Amino acid sequence: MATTPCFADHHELPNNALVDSPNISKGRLLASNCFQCHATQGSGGFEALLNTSQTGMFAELMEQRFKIKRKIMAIHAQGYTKEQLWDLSGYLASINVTVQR
Amino acid sequence: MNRRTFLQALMLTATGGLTSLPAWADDDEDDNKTSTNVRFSLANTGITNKHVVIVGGGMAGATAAKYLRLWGGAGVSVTLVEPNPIYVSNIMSGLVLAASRTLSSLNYSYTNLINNYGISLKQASVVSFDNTRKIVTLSDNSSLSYDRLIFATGIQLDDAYGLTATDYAGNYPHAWQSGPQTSKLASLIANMGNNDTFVMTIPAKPYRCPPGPYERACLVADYLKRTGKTGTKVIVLDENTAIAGSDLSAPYNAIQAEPHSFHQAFTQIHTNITYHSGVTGISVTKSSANDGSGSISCSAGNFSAKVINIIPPHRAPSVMTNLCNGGRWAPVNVLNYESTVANMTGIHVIGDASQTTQPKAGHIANQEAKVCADAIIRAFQNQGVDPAPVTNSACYSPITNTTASWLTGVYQYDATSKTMRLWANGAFTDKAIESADISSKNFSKMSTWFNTLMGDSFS
Repeated sequence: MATTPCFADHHELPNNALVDSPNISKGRLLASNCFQCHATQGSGGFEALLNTSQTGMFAELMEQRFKIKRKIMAIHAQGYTKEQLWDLSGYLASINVTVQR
Repeated sequence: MNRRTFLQALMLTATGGLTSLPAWADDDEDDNKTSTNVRFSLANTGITNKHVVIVGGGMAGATAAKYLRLWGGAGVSVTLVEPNPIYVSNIMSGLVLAASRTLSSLNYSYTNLINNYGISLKQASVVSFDNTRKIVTLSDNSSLSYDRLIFATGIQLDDAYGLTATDYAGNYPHAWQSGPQTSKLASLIANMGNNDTFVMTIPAKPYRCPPGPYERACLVADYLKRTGKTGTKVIVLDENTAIAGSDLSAPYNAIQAEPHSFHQAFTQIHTNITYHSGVTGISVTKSSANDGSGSISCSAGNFSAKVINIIPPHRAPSVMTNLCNGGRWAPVNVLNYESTVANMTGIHVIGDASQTTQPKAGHIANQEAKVCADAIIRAFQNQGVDPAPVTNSACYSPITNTTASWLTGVYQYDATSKTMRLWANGAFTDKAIESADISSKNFSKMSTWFNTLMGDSFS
C-alpha cells in the first residue's frame, strides 16, 4: 500500500487517513484523555488534533484555560499542569498521518 | 498585542522555536466533522509473546483491549472474554425509556476490535481463575493462560427491597444494565394511563452513573407530559442524604450529580416529579397481577404505583469475590489498576467493579482502561508506571427529548492519599463542574460526545 504524507491545514483528517501509534510513553497517557471527545489518537470527534506542532497545540490549550464561558474544553485545560499540557502536546505532535492510496 | 499574539510570543520564549497555531485555533465553537475510513496502525514496540485476558466487553474492557494492541503492538495478544455477542450501551438508554431512541441504536459489536486491531473474542463467561497457575477457566470448560488478567465486568445487581432477579427479568425491571429490561421498562411506561404514578428508587452511593437516576426521572416525566397522559406523576425515592456544603435546601441537597441542573429540572421543568431524599426502609409489595404495579413503603410514606422501578444496590460480580476483600468492590492501585489484595499480582480491575474515588461511569471507565493498558505495556517494556496519571469524567444528561445538561471534571493522582482527586487550576477540589444551563445546544453536542466515546471504545 503506497502512502503519501498528509499536511492537512484544517481540523478534519482526509478520507482514508492512516494514523500511527508512536512507541513513546511520555505524554501518551495524558493525551489519551483527549480521545473520548477527539477520537482515537486525536483523529476526529469534535475536531482532530493531528498535523500540528507541539508548540501550536500547547498554545491552544493554554488559551483554552482563559475561556470565560463555562465550557467543557476550558475546564479540561484547567485540569492539567502546564508541564502536562506540554507533554501531551508533544505526544499528539509525534503522531504521523498518511493517506492510503 | 492581542491575547493570541501574546501567547505566541510567550511560546517562542518558552520553547525557542517558531511555530504557527493550528488553523482551527480560531474556532470558538466545536465542529463535528467526521472523516471516513480513518485507520490506525499498531505501535512497533518490540514486545513479543505476551498474552492479556480481559473479562468483560463493556466500555472498560473494549477500550483496554483496543489500546493494549494499539499502543502495545502485535506482540501483545489480547483475548476478550464476553458472553454476549453485542454490547448494548447504558449511556443514552434513558432516551429509549422516553421513546426518543431505539434500543438497537445502542448496539455495538466487537467486529471492529477483531478486524482492525486483531483482538480475539471468546464468547463465554469466566467461571474461576487461578493466579498461581495464571489460568482462567471458562463456562465452556476451556481455559486460557495469561500474563496479565483484567476484570472489566461491570456490576451485579442485588436482590433488594423484596424483589429478586426473577422479578427484575419479569415485570419489575431495574433496567440498570441495558438490554431486554430496558425494552420492558419502556413498554410499561408507554402503557401508563392518565393519573398513573411511576415510582423509582435510587440506592445509596456508590452506584453506576451518578446523574443517571435523576436523568431517568426527567426523561420519564418528559415522556408522560409529551404524550398527554394527564395527571401522571413521577415519584423519586433517593436513599442518599445531604451532601456537606451543598448550597441547595433539603431534599435537593442530596442530589448526587449536577445538583443545580436537576434542581431546576425537578422544580421548574418537570413539576410532575416529586423528589424525596434520605429515604430509608424501602419495601416493595407487588400487585397480585404481578404486572409491574404495586406499592412501596418507606420512611417518606406509602406510595402505590402503576410502574415500580427500583434501582437496586450493586456490587462487583460474584466471580470477583476473592478480589473484593469482603467488600462490594475490588480495591486497586490507581497507578495501574492492579488488585491490592494479597496474591493477586498481575490481576487488574477497571471500570465500575473497581473501588476508587472516581465515578462508576462509561466515559471515565474508558480512561481507567487506558491507564491500565499504558501501565501493562510499560511493564512489558520494563518501564515503571506513569507516576502521575490523569483521568477525566464527562457526560451529557438529557433533561427532555431536546435539551441536555453536562458534567465534567479532571482527576489527578494525589500521592498523599494514593487516590484520584478532582483537580483544577493548581489545586485539588471537591466538585465536578456542571453546565451553566440546560439547552438544545447541549443536546446536539451530546450526540458528538456519545458517538466519539463509543468509537474510541469499540472502533
